Formats: sequence, C-alpha cells, structure tokens
Amino acid sequence: MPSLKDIRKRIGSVKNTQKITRAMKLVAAARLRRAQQAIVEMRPYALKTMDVLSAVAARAKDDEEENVHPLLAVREPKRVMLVVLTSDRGLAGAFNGNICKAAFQKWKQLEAEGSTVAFTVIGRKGRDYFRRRSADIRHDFTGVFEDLNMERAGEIGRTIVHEYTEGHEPPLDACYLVYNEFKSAISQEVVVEQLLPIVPMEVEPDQVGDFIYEPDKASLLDRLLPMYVDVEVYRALLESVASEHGARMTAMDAATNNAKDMIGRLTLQYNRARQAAITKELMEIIGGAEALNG
Amino acid sequence: MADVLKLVVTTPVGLALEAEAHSVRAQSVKGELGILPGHLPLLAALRCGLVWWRMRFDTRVACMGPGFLEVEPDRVNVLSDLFALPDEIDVDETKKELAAANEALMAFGERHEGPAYEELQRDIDWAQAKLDCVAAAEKLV
Repeated sequence: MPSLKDIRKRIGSVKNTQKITRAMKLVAAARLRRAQQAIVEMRPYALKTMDVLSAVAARAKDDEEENVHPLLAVREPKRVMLVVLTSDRGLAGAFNGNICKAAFQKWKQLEAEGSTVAFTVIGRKGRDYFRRRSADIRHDFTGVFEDLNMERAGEIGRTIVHEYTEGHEPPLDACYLVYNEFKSAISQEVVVEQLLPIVPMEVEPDQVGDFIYEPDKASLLDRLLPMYVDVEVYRALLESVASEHGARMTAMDAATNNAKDMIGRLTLQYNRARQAAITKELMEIIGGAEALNG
Repeated sequence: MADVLKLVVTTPVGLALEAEAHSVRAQSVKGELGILPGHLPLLAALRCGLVWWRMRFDTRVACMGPGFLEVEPDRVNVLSDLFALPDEIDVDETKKELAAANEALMAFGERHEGPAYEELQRDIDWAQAKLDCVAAAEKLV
C-alpha cells in the first residue's frame, strides 16, 4: 500500500503531465487551422496547373507519338522510388506508425513483384525507421515542416525530378508518394499515389481550344511538368502536416482525458488511505482508553 | 467584345491579384509580349521578371517568378509560385539577398550545373526581378 505522501506526489505529477498534454492539444489545434487554411489557398493554383498541363499534354500527344517527354513516358515499373512523408516529431498517435507500416508493406509488395525500391524520406521519424531497416535511401529531408512553403516543396520536387531523369543508372521507372491524406481533424488515411510518370487528365479533344503556344508545346511541357511535380509535392506536404496536427490533437485529447481519469482514481485512493489512517488512529485511541478503564 | 481584360494572378498561397486592365504586358522566355482584349487563346511560358497592366492611363507593375500565362478572350491567367507588388518589397533586404546569393555563386567556380547551382540561380533571378520591379515602379510615378 503506497503511503499518503507517495499518492500525493503521484497526483501532482499526473496533473503536470495533463497540463502539458492539454497545451500540446491547443497548439496542435491552432496549427491545424493554419494548415487547413494553406490547403484551401493552394487549391486554385493546383487545379489551374493541372488544367493547363492536361490541355498541353493532350495536344502534344497528338503531334509526337514517338517522342514522349521523359516525365510522361510510361515504362514497366522495374525500379521504383517511394517518397514517404512522415513528421519530425512524435507524440502524434499512430500517425508515423501507420505511414511507415504502409510504406513498408508497399516496399515488400513491390519487391515480391520483382522491382527494386529506392526511397526519399521526408521527416525524421521516417528516416530513422527506414534507416534501421537498411533501405536504399537516396535523399532525406528533415526540418521541412518548421517553415513549409512552396520554395521548400520546390527543392524537394526538383530533387525528385533530378533523381528520376538523370540520377543513378539505370534510371527509375516510377515514383510514388506515400502520405497521410487529411480527411478531418479526427481521421487521416494513408494513400499511395503515383507521382511519376505523370498521368494527365483525359481531355476531350474538342475541349482543348485552339491555343497559340509560346515558345512551343515541347518546351512548355519541359517547364510545366516539373512545376506540376512541385505542386503535387507541396500539396502532399500540406495534407501531411494537417494530418499530423489532427492526429496529435486527437492523441493529446485522449491523453488529457486519461490523465483526468487517473487523477480521479488516485484521488479516490488517496481519500481512502487517509480515511483508513484516521480510522486506525481512532481505533488505537479507543483501544488505549478501553485498556485504562478495564 | 469586351474592351477590358481581367487579370488574375494565382500563386500557391492563393489569389495574389485580381485586376481589370485595358492591356497586359509580360516577359516570356522568348521576349516581351503585350495582350489586348480579344487576343487569341495563348499559352506562354514566362521567365522570372516583370508584369505590367494598364487601366486607362494608370499603369501598374509587379514582379513574378518563372510561370505561365494563359490568355482567354476576356481574361488573362498568370500562374507563378512567386509574386510581389512594388510596395511589398524591402529594397535593402533584397539587395542583401542578391549579394549573398551572388557570393555563394562565386564559390561554385567552374561547375555551372546541378540542382544546387540552379537553386542559387533562381534566388538571384528573383532578387533581381524584385529590384527591377521597384525601379520600374518609381519610373511610372
């Protein structure tokens, strides 16, 4: 039976933990709102880029069947790169666990199909996870989420494109993004999405207006495709950040509630122990008095 | 046919500019181009540089990173990841950025290629565009 002092100390420490988890929950909620805002702001740009890209790609396809742009060319996926988006910090429930598990499964599945798999990992948690499993990590990025903007996403995007087009020999055949898609503040879903080669939306031929292209379709594609990769990476990063804060918020809310329950239980135990001590003292006094009377 | 164009600049952080204009002037990778209302549909790649738009006798200027310009009959869409109006630019800060980037570029020496080099070149282009923009804006007033 723990002493009264022990229980009091324990209640104090649980209360402190509860304060921390509650603060973390509030911070995560504020950051989540900002991340959601960024997703909304980003949307028109992403849509417009995809629009323009699809229109040009559809047009270019008609012209030059044999000379397909390297980022559009579809090959059998023999060599694949997985781009895994995790977070730098823990304490976000199963957020990092889920994403790493999904990426790991995809890795094994691709290997079973006879492909070789390389990695680009974003976030400290994922880097450590895949390093421990001695994966072929080509690039890793940490500290991206401290100041997330298009510039950072662009750097990552250009690194991926560079790796894809003129990295190792033999070249990569496909590239997948593995990230947490933001559904709502309380739910995220791991998605595996093809990043490269780029699959443009199907456009009805008569919907593609008769555009003048400057300088020409091929050079426009040269610029549009890498830009599209940047945009996709940025979108995935934002989704991932929003999911991370959502997951952390839920996890910290649960932790705060657990701490509350625990304090309740400990307080009960404390009161019981106190009452038992009082009763014991009373019994001793009564016992002593009885002995004197007797 | 409408005699006013709608100029819309979209960036990853939302709509940067929505304005009416009688004409729009921008710098493509091949040279400068001017758009008047009723222009044929056009899709052009823009280099990091300036964009002007005129409403009656009032001409405005802004700078943008590399991007695209799409012309519809009564609308001009500009897509770029960077965009700034002259009064948003801190000249001293930008000069510092430019100097720092130039210095880093010197350290590269002979090897003028690779992602890191391109990254620096982008920074320099953007800083230069911002300075040009402020200079151009002063000339307009």
